[in-house]
Amino acid sequence: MSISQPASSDALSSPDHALSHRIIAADPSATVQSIGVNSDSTISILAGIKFPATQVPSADANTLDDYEEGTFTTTLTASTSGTITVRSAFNTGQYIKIGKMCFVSGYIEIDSVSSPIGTLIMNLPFTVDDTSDNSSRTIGTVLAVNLTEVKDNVAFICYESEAQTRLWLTDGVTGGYELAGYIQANTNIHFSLSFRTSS
Amino acid sequence: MLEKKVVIDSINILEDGHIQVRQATKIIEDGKELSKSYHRWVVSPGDDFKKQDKRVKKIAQVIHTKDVVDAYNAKIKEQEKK
Repeated sequence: MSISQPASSDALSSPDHALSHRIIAADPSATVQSIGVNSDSTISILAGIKFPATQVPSADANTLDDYEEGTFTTTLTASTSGTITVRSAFNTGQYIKIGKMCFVSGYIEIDSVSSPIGTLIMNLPFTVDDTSDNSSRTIGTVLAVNLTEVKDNVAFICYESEAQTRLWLTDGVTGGYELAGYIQANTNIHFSLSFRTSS
Repeated sequence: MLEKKVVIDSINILEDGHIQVRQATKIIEDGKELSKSYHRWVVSPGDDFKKQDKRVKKIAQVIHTKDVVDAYNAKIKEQEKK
């Protein structure tokens, strides 16, 4: 990619017409007017920013090095015993990863259960980062409907170094994980959460 | 001619043994890629990897040693207390 002075015919409808430079794309078929550096050093882009399909991670704290959208298949497991089967029509979650931050959302419907006991665990599309003092720990929002009994204050909690999130239950005084036993056929769970990944 | 290709296009191994896998579904017309979508999952130490892609399975067989799995399980148990 090279940088040159703008031609008088530059057609970039930038917020700043006083472009100091234009950038000629590496792809010769690209329109050179699609990106420009404004006189205040901001950049105007008429299409989008395309990151490499395979991330080139940067350790620099001021560098945005990744963007990716995709899906993941949600599975629910009970940590102690038993099984939880998610209805296949409602087992796809979405993720968007921007730099190190990953945002996931989805809707899950339970098809059937077989005596689930223990912590309710859901998989994630990436592993949560491992940073000091539990500083990568995050809470996600969840709406669980049709549990076997009324339960308030339910949230997904993401722990460091895990590619999963646990459904946390608290009454504000004590906390606990033993929520799997309250899941039954036709329980449905809406969720959205964000967490920091390792790269 | 339209063609659909599903490939594992990224396998990323983390220090503690997690294997992050990305599957790309590509729609190709006459050799030109028209669209691409991603699907991801992670194989953690201790996970059953028998049904994984051949390459993922081989990697898991090598890196998910007993020591790695034990260390990961111990870490998870420790974190539950905090």
